[in-house]
Amino acid sequence: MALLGTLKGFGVTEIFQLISQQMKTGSLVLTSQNAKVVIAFMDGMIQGLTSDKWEMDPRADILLKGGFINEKELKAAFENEKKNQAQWHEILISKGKLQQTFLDKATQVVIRTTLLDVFQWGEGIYRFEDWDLNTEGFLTCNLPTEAVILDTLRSIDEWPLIKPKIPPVEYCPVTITPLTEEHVRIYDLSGVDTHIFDLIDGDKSVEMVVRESLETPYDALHAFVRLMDAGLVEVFPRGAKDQRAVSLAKVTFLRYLKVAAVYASLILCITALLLVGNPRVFHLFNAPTLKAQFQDQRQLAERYATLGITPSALGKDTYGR
Amino acid sequence: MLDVAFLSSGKLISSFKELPVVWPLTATVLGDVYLLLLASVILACFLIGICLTFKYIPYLLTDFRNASSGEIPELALKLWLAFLVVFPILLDAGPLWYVLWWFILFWGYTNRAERHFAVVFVVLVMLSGWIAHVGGGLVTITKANASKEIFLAEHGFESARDIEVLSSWVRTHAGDAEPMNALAMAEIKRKNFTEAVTLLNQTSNIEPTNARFYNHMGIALAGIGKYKEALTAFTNAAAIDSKSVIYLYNISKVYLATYNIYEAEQAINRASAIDPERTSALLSQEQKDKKVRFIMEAVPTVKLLARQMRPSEELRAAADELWYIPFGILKRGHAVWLGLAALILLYLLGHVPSEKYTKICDRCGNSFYVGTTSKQGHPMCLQCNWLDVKSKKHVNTILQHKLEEIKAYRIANRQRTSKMELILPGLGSLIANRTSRGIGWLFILSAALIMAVTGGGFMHVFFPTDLDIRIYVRLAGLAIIGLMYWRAYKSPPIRLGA
Repeated sequence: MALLGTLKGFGVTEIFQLISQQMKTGSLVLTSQNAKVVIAFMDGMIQGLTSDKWEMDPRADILLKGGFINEKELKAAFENEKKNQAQWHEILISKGKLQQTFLDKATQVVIRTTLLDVFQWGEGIYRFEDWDLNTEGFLTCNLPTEAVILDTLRSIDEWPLIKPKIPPVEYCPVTITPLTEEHVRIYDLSGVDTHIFDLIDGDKSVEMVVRESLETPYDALHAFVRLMDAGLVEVFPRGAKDQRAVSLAKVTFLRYLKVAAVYASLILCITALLLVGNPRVFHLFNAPTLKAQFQDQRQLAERYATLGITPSALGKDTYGR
Repeated sequence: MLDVAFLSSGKLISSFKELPVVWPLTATVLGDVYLLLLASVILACFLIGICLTFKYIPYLLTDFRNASSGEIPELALKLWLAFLVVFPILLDAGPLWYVLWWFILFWGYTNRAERHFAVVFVVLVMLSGWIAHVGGGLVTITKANASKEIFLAEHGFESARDIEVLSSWVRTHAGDAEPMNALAMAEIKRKNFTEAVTLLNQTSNIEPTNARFYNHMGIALAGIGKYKEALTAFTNAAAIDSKSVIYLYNISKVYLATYNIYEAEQAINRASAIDPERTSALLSQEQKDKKVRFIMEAVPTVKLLARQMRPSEELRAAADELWYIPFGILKRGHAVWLGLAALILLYLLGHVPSEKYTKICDRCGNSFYVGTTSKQGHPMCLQCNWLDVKSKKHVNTILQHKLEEIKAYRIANRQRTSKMELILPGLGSLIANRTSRGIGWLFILSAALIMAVTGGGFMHVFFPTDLDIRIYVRLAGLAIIGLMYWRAYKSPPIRLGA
C-alpha cells in the first residue's frame, strides 16, 4: 500500500498517528522546498531517519563541535571506513576514542531535532511505502511514535515562550550561586537544567555549553532560560571576561535601577491620575436629578392621596364630580 | 345643551375591565421594569468583569513574569498588576468603565464565547446613550413635556397650577397639539366653549388627521349651539377613525339634540354594528345616570408614553445622570464614539499573535503558547488536540499517562470550580469555560439581587394606587437566589464522566 498526499491536507502528526495506529512497516518520505526526510517505521515504531541535507553523518559534526572527538581522529576514521569495513563511529569506539553513550546521545539529538523541524512543516508532500524498508544510511533508533508526537507537540507549544528569552549564543554564561537541592525543588529544575548548570564554567559560550551538553538545542536553550529566570545564571558578552566583576556590578546596578524605575513609575502614574483623574471615590455621586424626580412623584402621590383621589375614578366620566 | 362626559376611551380599559390600567401606573411599572433591567444588566456586566478578572489575573501575572525574565521583583509585578486592573478607580469612572477596561486588558486570554459577550457589551455601550434617554423619559414622568398636566386636565383633576403650566406650554410650544387639546377639554368642562373652539381650531390645524380633536371640537361647537358644525366635526372624526363607536354615539346625541330621532337611531345602529358591547354599555350608563351626554376621549396611554420620550431639559438631565452612574468620565453624547473606539481597539488587539499570551489547556490544565481551540472555542494544547482527533481505540501506555493527567486535572478543576460556584453562582462556570452558563447565571443572580434589595420599586406612581408588590418582588428575588445556590450545589459546572 502506498500513501500519497500534501501536508496541507493531512498534517505530519496525522500521518505519524495513522502509521502508529495501523502498526505499519515502511518508509515515510516527506518532501518540502528545503529538504527531503525519510523516516523508517517498523510495526508503527520509528526505526530511523535520513535527510538529503546531510552531507556526512550529522552525529560526527555534533560530537566534533561538542569536543567529544577531535578532527584528526574523525578524518582518520572516515578514511579507514572502507578499509576496515566498519563505520567511522565503530572504529572510534573500538579505539576507545569515543564512548557509545555519547554516540547514542548524538543520535537522539539529530533525530529529535529533525523531527521537531519536520513537525513544523506547513507545506510539502508525503509518500508512505510499506513494501520498502531499507534503512541503509539511516540514523537508527527505536522510538515509540506517539511519545515522539507528544514530546514534539509540547515543544512546539512552549517555543514562543522560550524564543524571545534565548541569550545570544556567543555570550558567556556564569553561575551566580551554587546549585542546591533547595534550588532544584523551588524552581522545579529538571535533569537537563542541572546538567546545563554543571557545564557552565565561566569560559564557555552558550553555544559551546549547548554543544557539550549533547541535548537538543531546544532542551538546552529551554534549560538556559529556566536557569536565567531563576536568577541562577547570567550571561555576558564574550571578551568581557576580565571585566566580569565590573559587568556584574553594572548589571546589578542596572537591575536595581530598573526595579527603582518600576516602583517610581508606578507611584508617578498613581499620583498623576489622582491629581487629574477626579476619582469618583472622593466625590460619591448621589444622583440629585433622579432623586428629585422620585421625590416629586412621591410628593404628588401623597398629595392626591390626601385629596382622596383613587385610580378607579380615572376610568369613569366626570359627570358625578 | 347636553352634558359633557369624559371617557378614558382606550381599548385597554375595556380589555382589562376594572384594572386601573392608566398612564401613570403603566408608565411607572414600565419605568420600574426598565430601571430594574438596567440595574441588573449593569450589575451582571460588572460581576462578569470581576469573574473574568479573577480568572485571568494569574495568566497576566505569568506573562508579566515571563516578560520581566526575573529582573523585576514579584512584589513590583503584583503592584503593577493590581494598578492595571483597578486603575479606573483613580478616574471618575463608573462600573461599566471597569468592565470595558477589563475586556481590553484580558482580550488576548478570553475564549470565543467571552469575546462574543464582549462585543455585545461594546454594542450596548454604543447604544447606552439612547438607552439612558429612554430611562430618562420614563423617570421624568411628572416633570417633562407637560404630560402629567395633560393627564390631570383630561381627567378633571387639574389644579390652577396645572392649567398655568399647560397655558405656558401652549404659548411656548405652538406646534404641540395635545396640551392645547387638554386645555380645551378643561375649558369644555368649565363650559368655556368659545375658548375651547379657539384652542381646538389650532389643534386641528396642527394634526388634521387626529379624530379626537374633531370629536372635542364637535362637543365644543355643540356647547355653543352650533349643531350643524358640530355634526360636521363628529362626522370628520368618524371618517378618520371608522372603528370608534364614540363618534357615532356623539353624532346620535347631536341628532337627538336637534330632534332627528331617526338619524340618531341610525347612528346608534351603526355604532352597534361596530362594537355592540361597548355601544350597549354607553347606552346603559346613559340610562343609569338618566343624562344624555357627549363623550370625550383621553390621550391614549401609548401616545403619552411616546410623549415622555420627547427630548426636554428635564429628560436630558435625568438621562445624563442615568448614563453618568455606570459610566462617567465622558458625556452621554460620546457613548457611540466610546463604543466605536472600543470596537476598533478590540479588533486591533485581535491581531496580536495569540502566542504572546499564556493559555491554559481546558483539557489537561497545562500552560501553552501555540495550541489551538476546541470546537467549543476553548483553549487546547496541541497534545490534547491531537488526542482529541485520534482514534480512541488505540490507547497505549504513553497515551494512558496523558489521559491520567487529563483525568487528574478534571477532578481537581471540578472541586475548584464547584467551590467557586458556591461562592458566586456563575463564577465557577466561567472559570470552567462554561461561559454561556456562567453569564446566564450571573445575569439571573444580578436581577434577583436587585429585586431583593430594591423590591423593583424605583419610581412612585404619582397617582395614588393600592398596588404595591414590592414585598413580593423582594421575596421572589430571595427565592431565586436560594434556588440558584441550591442548583449550584446540585449541578456543578464540571461533571465527571461527561
